[in-house]
Amino acid sequence: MAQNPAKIEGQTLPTIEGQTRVQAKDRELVDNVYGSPVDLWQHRFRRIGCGIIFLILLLIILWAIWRFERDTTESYADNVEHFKYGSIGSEPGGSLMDSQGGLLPPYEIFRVLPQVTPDRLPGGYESLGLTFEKGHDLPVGVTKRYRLGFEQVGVNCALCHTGTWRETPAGERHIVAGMPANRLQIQRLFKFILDSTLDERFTADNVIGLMKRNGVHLSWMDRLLYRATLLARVREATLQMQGRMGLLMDPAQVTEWGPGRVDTFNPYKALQFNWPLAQLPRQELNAPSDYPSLWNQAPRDGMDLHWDGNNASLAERNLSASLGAGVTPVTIDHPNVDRVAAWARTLPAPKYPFAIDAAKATRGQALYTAAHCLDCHGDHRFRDGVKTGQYLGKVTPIAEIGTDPLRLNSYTFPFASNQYTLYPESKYSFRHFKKTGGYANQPLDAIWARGPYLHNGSVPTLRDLLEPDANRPATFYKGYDVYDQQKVGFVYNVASEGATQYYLFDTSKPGNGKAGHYYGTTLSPDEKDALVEYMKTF
Amino acid sequence: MTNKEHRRKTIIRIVIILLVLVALGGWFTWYSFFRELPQEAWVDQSPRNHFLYGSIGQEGVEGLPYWIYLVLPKVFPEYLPGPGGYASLGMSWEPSTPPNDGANGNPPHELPMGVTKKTVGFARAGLNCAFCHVSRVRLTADQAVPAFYPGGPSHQFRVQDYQWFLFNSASDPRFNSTVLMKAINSVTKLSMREAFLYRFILIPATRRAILKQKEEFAWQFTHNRPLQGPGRVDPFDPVRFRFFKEPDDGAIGNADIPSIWNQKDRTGKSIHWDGLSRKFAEVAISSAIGDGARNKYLDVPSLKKMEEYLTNLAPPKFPLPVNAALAAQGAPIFQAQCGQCHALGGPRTLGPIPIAEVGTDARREQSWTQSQVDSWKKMATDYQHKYHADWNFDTFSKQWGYVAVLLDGVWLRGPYLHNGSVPSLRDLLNPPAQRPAKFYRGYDLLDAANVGFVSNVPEAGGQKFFLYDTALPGNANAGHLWGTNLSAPEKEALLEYLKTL
Repeated sequence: MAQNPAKIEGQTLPTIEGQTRVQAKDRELVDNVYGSPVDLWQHRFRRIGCGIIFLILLLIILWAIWRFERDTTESYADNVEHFKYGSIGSEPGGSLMDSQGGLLPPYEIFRVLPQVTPDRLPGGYESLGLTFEKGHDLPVGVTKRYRLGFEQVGVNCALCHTGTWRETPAGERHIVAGMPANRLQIQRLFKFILDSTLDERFTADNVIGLMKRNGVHLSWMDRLLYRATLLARVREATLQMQGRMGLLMDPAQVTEWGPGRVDTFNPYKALQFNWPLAQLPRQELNAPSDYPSLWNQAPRDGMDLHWDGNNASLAERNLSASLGAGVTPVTIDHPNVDRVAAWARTLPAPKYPFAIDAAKATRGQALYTAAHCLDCHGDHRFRDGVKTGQYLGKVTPIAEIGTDPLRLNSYTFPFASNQYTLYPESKYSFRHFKKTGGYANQPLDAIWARGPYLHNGSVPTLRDLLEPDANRPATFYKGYDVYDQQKVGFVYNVASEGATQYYLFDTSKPGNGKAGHYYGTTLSPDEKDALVEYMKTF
Repeated sequence: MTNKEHRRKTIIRIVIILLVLVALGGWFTWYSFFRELPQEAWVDQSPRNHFLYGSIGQEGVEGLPYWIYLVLPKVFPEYLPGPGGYASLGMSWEPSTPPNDGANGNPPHELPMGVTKKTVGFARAGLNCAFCHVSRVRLTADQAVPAFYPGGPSHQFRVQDYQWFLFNSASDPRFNSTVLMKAINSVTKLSMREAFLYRFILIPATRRAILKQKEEFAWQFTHNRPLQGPGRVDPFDPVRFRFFKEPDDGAIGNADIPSIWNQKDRTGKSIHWDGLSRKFAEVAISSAIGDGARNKYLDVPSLKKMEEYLTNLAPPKFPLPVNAALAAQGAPIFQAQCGQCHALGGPRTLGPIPIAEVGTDARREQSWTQSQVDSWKKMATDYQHKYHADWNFDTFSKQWGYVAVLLDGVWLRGPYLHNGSVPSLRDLLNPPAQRPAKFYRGYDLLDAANVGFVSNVPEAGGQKFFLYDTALPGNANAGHLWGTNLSAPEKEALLEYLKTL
């Protein structure tokens, strides 16, 4: 079979004068060697083989890109659903080789963890005050996002800003978006994650075995990745978190946060700036504060936000809070954060759900103005965006307000300075944070749903807040969400309900002081009742 | 076509390809390492901004790649004096006064005062005069935000600790591309080109450069030299040992950072503690060179602009009420006791007083030598030849004493004497035996009663202060006995008057 050798070679040989004869001889030789049918087939196979290998490599690369570079998350049409379950980017992200951000282990591990170390969390996540809704396998505020090759979980605004109440112990539990998470024990949640991912039972065999028993079937590739990298990575992340923040998660070292509270800025010092917390004065680390409400944000823009009023920009406050939820400037999902922020601007404050004595409330309104409550806190119209009171949203010096100073002191000037370096070289870079000298006067929209009161949640009800220091309860139970319509707040004398033990809050611990804010404490009991009745209308 | 022609064509082709490659490579090198961009517009929008954040040309020579600068305190917090990142070194960010928008001419605050950002190939963080010359003061311990006065001494800033933070970090094996890139990737998304540059060139090169500088500063810990502590530097020995290659003779030049405001009252008079120069422009240029603004990067027009700002920058007034009647009693005492040397226009004001007469610690004065005068002058000649510089160090000379300084804004300039060895003016009016032998430096709380900064607390607000020991070499609190024999009421009156300066 005569073949054109040039074709077989895949190229045209040059025909330069003077070399032709030599080349002709060479070509003859080539013809002889490569012209045989066997060689021809060999060549074809080689070409096909190379093609196939190339194709397989390409497919592997495409698969790897699809598997590890995909960043997808469910999007919810409904704003409230989006708020509760939509990702703000706080899941671990960045790149496979260099993962960034995130506070919780991947989805399947997060779900199985209470079973891996059952003694560390006998009641499951519910016992930490996380709220599960029908049709969702993750609690409110815990989000799912596919990143770095796995379903990851993160937390969003709703974790700390969705609360619940019941009319009676047997009544329905109402879940209110934007309400402070009055039952959430976030410190214990993170302590549990740290402890159980460092537990010796946190092994691939246990984790995969328990998943199997739960009906979660991993592909062989996933099993391989779990064993080869994922668990080790989780543990690495935990070790880093333990090293940086372990001190804050340990109630033996700092005042326990308990339900409905978080230390806002100390974890930030550790996570964002890697400050050696152990070198800070211990007092600075006792700064748990009550979760604020998230509704009706529009009229709050320009007011001194955060309990100590350290920032007057809503946008910066939101981005700062997102950092607290575990985003980084590179993993944050700005469109989703913006969507929540836009929604919260006009989220209506929930109306008091029980009957109000209108006549009593009217009497209370007169007292509210006469006792100068209005000057600092505005009135019932704030829910409609009407701002009254010359000191509303401004900082009252600590010497004047006299409440526990530790939260204020935990936000230091060097810390504010460091915050300016966040979101660097971007339009988001912080420039409004400032150290202040007191606590900001909050507007009281839906104050009925925001108990316990004061920045550190040290006074259980509004009625108690109108009592002098000595008459305010020294200890009380927190985390019970049955409503107290008389005192306005949650019932605080119930120690347990079934298997659930409620948290005994001790106002004598550092940062828990109930002193200060004695405004209205000199009114008569009748007047106080009327005042509280009026505040139900807020 | 002949064989020769073919070969020639091939060679021409190869040459063209090589030339294109070289040109591309050259362009890439220029673009990535040498391309100079002006600073952001807000820097030049006010003389104050320019003084605090304007480049003096230091970035091109000794500037840190911006992202390394930004993440370093997060990666190596253990080499800082305490928690707080750069703030733990006493570096200060301007407090927020909304709307702090770069677009409105206000700084966007990402950088502390005295740190400059400029692109020379890549964004670099450098420093300028404000690194050491912005005063910070609180009037009460619980004052939320301190007040800042540009042009005053940064008495709380630990210059030496900043240097050694860099040196120790670069000596740590974790100063590598893997660790630093992870830190950088957590705060920003670099382009592929930048990521490549950082990973393969900038991080290793920065490490080498810092380690080289560490070698050049090894003298700081020879001859039992004491720590400088906050608010003090050894201004001339670095240049002397690094660039003039003079042998380490154990000189100690540690000196308090001075105020540099109100230069109009100092025109033509002695500058620096020992009066080694009489022209502010020369002092500014020599300081800039010492800080690393060298060669073609030295930005003399920028320094000129700062000089203009500082010429008329008024010293800040004492921020608390002054007892006017008492101060009025103090005025004649000042004229009689101090006026000769310290009053504006006094016969000896702003001139050097011989060591024998002033009696203060001699080490700083001894550290400046004739050989350095010659070397600096030679350096100026070199710059004239190489870079067509139009400046010189003609007024540089060796003096034998310390300058009797003008006392404008003296309330903000503590601790006192050239080596910062006396914490307050009240202590300075006492005989040396009664002045504190040890005290703390670095607290920004004003000690209004004694005039100076509070110096008897070891720590406050989570910050540990520096224990200054007057027994160490160069730290003596002897000398300057004027006023020590006044009566107690006279001293009170004099102190009150000094507040008004």
